[in-house]
Amino acid sequence: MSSQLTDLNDLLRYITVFNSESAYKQLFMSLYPVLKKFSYTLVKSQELAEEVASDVMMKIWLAKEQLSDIKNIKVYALIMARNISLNIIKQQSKREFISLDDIQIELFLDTHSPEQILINKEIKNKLEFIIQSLPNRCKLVFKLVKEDGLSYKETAEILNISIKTVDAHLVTAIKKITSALKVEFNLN
Amino acid sequence: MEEKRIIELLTRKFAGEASLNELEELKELLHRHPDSVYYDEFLKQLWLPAKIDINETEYLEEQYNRHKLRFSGELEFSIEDAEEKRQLDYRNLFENKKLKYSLLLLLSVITIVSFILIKIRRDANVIQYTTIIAGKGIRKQICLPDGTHVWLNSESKISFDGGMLNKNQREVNLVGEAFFDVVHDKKHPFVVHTDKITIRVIGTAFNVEAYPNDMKSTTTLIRGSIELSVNNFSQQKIILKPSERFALIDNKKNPKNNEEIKALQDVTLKLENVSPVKVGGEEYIAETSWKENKLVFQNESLSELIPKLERWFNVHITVDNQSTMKYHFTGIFTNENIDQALNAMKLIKPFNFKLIDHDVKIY
Repeated sequence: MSSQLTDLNDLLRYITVFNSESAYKQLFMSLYPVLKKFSYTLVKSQELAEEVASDVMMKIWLAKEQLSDIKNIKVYALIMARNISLNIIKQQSKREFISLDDIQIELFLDTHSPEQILINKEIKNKLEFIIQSLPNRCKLVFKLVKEDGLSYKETAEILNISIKTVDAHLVTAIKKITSALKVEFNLN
Repeated sequence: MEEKRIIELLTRKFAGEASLNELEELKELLHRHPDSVYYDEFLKQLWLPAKIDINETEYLEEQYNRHKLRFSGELEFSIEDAEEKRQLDYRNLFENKKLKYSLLLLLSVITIVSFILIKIRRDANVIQYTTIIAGKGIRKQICLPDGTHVWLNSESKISFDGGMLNKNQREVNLVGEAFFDVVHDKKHPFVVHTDKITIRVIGTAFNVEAYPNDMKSTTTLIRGSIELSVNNFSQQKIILKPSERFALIDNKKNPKNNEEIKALQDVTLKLENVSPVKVGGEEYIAETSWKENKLVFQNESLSELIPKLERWFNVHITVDNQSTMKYHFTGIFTNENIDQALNAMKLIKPFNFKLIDHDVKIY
């Protein structure tokens, strides 16, 4: 069955009907890394991020019956990861409210593809510097759309902003990135 | 100005959000500004997926095992449950060591052979099943690929082959209760499988109730005709006429029966006429009313009603006073919630109940 159930929502339905471990494991394998990385950008600790991802996977298991109506389990899981991560930060900082704007977001570029001939080490350092200097939500939009391949709509849901804002944030990020290139390649 | 637009359009292109018009526009702009091709090429490379780390799968396996350990109390997988039970049952058998090893060997051979067989069969004929579930308190209406309408009652699931139109017959599997309004197609009979009975039809409307935990499975025909067979006696066919109800009572699930009766007779088959339920001057048919969001019941004991109420209202009901189980009720619920429903029933027969969240206690 493993090759046939690629769609995450199908997997979830399979888990609900048959309580199947292999399906749950498959869901875990596809969601866990995404959840962990996303949570890491917020909590900035490997251990805590792992705990958050594991917590979310458990919540999915416990609520599987109710989740059969959820349209997009990936988005749902990421929203859960966001909330749990923010809760952890809230407890750490002992503040009553915490929003995505209040915290430092940590983001690394995942680029070690051998085909990236244009992106040498120097440019990569520059890119990382640019991305680190982006505003929080802009950084998160870049991460979710580029690194996790989510759509504007999905990203908007997770970050609680409008689709237009997602577009604007991403355009800002790409503009900053390309402006660095301009210098590099002597474009005008 | 145009450079700004180029960046904007490039961004949308790589995010997969550009419309066809925008892609057209971008193509033209890139043509007019050859330098921008660098941006295009650069972003293309930036967007390349990162190389998958080989250690990643190993790491994930490890994380999964940790996760399983951490929540071992909550994660109950069905296969493991079954295995555990089997181990308990056969513990006595394993006392003989020789027997134990030969059994193990035999088992592993059987497993491998059946795996290979299943694999071969699967590869030869891949069937894409679609499963739809209606949880407790939820009722759903579905349209199958052949146009057949299915109303799925609470706590039921139906699975069907997405490519059923290319097959000789249209087959669906059902657990729970569903009402079928089957599109007429003489060449492709419509077949419903449940764990106890199989129903073959050409074009009719009928209701099937086959909840795994209920001892009774019923099939009610509204119009047309259907051919029905009990899975264990497949050669014997039963033809239903409109307004007839077929009931199969599985005595094995009846806790009241003693061992002797069990040995004599495992199942009881019953054929009866459907009589409409008269409530407040109007007539209802219980088997079809539920799809219009009406829960109808006639002269049913509380013990028969409880599973229905649990499914309908998504509650868990416990009864302390066993004598209330014998109370019989006739009635119809439409928009009532569980509180209103039980209060109405309380007026007919005296009992008390307590409602906390989804738990109902009757005493």
